[in-house]
Amino acid sequence: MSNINLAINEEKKISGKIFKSAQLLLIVILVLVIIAYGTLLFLVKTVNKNIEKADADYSAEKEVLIGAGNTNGEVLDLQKRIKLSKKLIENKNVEAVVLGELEKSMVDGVSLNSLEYKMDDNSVVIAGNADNLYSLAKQVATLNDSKAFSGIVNGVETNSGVDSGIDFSLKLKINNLNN
Amino acid sequence: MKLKILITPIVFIAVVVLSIWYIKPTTDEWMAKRKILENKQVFTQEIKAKSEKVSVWKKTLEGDVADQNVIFNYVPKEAKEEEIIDNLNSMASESGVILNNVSLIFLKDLSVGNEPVPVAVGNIDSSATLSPDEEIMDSQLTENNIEVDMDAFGEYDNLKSFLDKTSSFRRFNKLGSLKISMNDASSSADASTKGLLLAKISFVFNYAKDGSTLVTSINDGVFGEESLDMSIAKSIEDTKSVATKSLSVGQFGRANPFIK
Repeated sequence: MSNINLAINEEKKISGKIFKSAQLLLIVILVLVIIAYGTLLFLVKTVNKNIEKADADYSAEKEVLIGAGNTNGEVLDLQKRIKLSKKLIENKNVEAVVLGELEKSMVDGVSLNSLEYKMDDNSVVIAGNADNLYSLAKQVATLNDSKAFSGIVNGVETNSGVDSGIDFSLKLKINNLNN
Repeated sequence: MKLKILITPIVFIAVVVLSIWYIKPTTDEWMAKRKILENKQVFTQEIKAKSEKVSVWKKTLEGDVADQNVIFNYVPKEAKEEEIIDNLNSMASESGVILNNVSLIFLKDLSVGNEPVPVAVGNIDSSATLSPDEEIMDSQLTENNIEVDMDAFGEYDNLKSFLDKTSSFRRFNKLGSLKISMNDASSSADASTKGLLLAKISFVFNYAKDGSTLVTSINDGVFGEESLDMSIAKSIEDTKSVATKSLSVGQFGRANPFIK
């Protein structure tokens, strides 16, 4: 008959060894975790220092670029002036267009007494004298056909001419030249 | 003996506590700060790149004095009223037009101003920590307008020539209003203008004050320009043929200002 006590003792010895190994492993893991924590603290401290340095570098570069003592003001002003000039040079010369188109539109028997251009309104009001209604009608036709004007606003007013013929006045809307 | 048995669970609990309450948060903190550091380094590199770009622009400036003068004449930093009066007078004389009742009025400031203009921020890393003064803006020069009113007397062709010259003048201006009519001979006090057409003209000149201190943010739109494009000077010279005359004052100063 086998010795039961011996067998049990053997089992106890084996489980005791396993238990001790597990204990040892856990202690090793604990030590590694403590080392890892310490390393992380060191890394955080290092990155904080680097952030401070980066902030200092950033401030220094910013001071050179736009700080109180920077020497870039003149060139930055010129750059903005160039941008403004590019915008302004797009403005079209209205007077040349308006006068040129009126000249091209004039028919025989009609002459102008006055013309008035207003930038705010983008329109031109002309007043003149036509020999007769036929001449006036032709004049209105050529103005309506002109590409510079988008049409007559509020019709045509007429009166008997002081000396002769028919005095008239009308308002023309100017096409937007800056489009 | 019992103490030996307790070591295992105690160690296990210590490992778990350290991992959850110390390792994890510290790891998260380190990674977040690394990200912040990277962003700050990127911002610093960007500023350096902008500084280098501006240095290149400054080098361009050294060689292009003539072109700069064209631009500064087109949009001057100061009103230079004397330049307006003198040049209009010259253009009128050259065109055979008589000027009268010339007045200059400073209009209300119609500038856009330096309000920060909202700019799309989609390309900025939202997790980055931005300095509070890193506004994204597009500062612009302040335009100041000067209205110049006058009566011009002359034949139609002469008046047209005068208007052509002013529209070709190398200082920016635009026509505000124009009224041409027969000069009323009976009311005209000046005999030299009788029989001529009368043009009541209003021009708008402008100037833009010095903007060298305008840029206060590294995210100003000006740094988005690739180069200092001086070709606008050539465009001005090509489209505006009438150069600005500089005024020579000559001797001045007199004991009694009330006699000429």
